Amino acid sequence: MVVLLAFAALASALGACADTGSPGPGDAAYQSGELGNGGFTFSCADTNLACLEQSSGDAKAFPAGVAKLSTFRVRYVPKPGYESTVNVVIDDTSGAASASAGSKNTGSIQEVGGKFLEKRADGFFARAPGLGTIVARDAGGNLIEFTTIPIREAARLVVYEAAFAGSQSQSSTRSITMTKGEQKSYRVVAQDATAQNLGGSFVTEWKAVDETIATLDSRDRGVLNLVGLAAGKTTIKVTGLGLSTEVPVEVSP
Amino acid sequence: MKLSSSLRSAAAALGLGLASLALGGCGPDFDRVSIDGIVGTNNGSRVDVARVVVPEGMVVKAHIVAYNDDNEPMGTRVETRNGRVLGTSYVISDHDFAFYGIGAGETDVDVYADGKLVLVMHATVTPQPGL
Repeated sequence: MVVLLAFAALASALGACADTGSPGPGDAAYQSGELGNGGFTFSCADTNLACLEQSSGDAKAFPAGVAKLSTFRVRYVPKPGYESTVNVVIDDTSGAASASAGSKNTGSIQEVGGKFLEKRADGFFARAPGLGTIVARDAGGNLIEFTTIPIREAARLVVYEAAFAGSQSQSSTRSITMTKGEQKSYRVVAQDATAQNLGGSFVTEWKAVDETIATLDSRDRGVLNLVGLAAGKTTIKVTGLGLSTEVPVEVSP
Repeated sequence: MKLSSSLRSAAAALGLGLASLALGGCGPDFDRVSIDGIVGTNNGSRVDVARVVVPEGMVVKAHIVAYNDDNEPMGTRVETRNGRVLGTSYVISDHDFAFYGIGAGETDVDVYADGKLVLVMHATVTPQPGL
C-alpha cells in the first residue's frame, strides 16, 4: 500500500513537472482563432519598453486590446493534434516554425490591409484604432487561421509597482513615499477611456522634477528604478504615446 | 448492296458528327455554385452568390463549391479583380476560400469552375465601424 502511494505521488509529481508546451484552448494566454484550426499567443515586441506584461515569452493573458502606436508580437499555435497537418508554429517576424514543431519555414503571420496594423521587423505596429486582423498562412499562402485584436486609443498612462502582473483589479501607484537611499521600482501601463489595460510595447520617458530629491537609477525590461536622494518632495513625470502622468514622491530622512 | 462513293462519304461524315456530338454532348456541364460555411459574419461580413461584403482590415471565409450537372464538385477557384480592394486566397481546408478587406471600395470576384468563368460576385469592402 505504501509503495503504491509512493508510486502515485511520484507519478503525480512527474506529471506536474511535465512540459505542457504551448498554451492551448482554455488558457488565458491563448486566443482561439475563428476557423477552429488553432489559436494565437501574444508577447511584447520589445521587453525593454513599457508593456502590460513585462516578460520575454508569451503573455500570461492575451490582452483585450492593444494601444494605438504600440508594437507587439503574435505566435500561431496549431490546435492540439493538428500540428502534423499544418506542421508549423509560426512566429510573426521570422515566419519560421518553432524548434518544437520542426525546422521547416512553412508559413507566415501577416496583417490584413495596412490601415490598422503594419508588420515590421520587430512585430506588429498598431497604426489606427479599429479591429486588426492577424492571419496565419502556410507556405503556399493558404489561410490556416485568423483572429482579430482591438486597437484602442490610449487615454491615460498609469504607474504601477514593478511587480504588477497585468491584473485589471490591481491598484495603481498614486503617490510614492520612500526613505533616503531607498530604491523602488515602477512601470507604466496604457489604459483606454474605460480604464481597460492595453497591451503592446511603447517608448516612455521618465523624469524626476527635482533630481536632488529623487532620481532615476536605471531601467531594465521597461522598469524604472527610483532612488531617494534627500528628504523632500518632488514629482516624477512619465510620458509616452503622446500622454503624460505625474506621481508625487516624498522622501523622508 | 453497293453505295455510291458520295453516299459513303456523306454517311461517314454523319457518323463522325454524331459520334462527336455524343462524346461532347454527354459530358457533365457546370450547373451551379454552392456557398455555405461562412465564418466572419459577426464582423458584418456577408458572402452569397451575388455579393461579397467585408469590412476593411477583416476576413471572411466561405465554403464555395461549383457543381456540374451530375451533381459532382468541380475544381473551383476565386479571383479578385482588384487586389487593392479585396484579397482572396485558398484556405487549407478543401473548397474553403478567404476574402480579405484590403481597402474600402468595390470590385468584382470571378468564380471559376474547372478553369471556366461561371460566376461574377460583386464585392464591397466597407469602412470599419468604430470600436
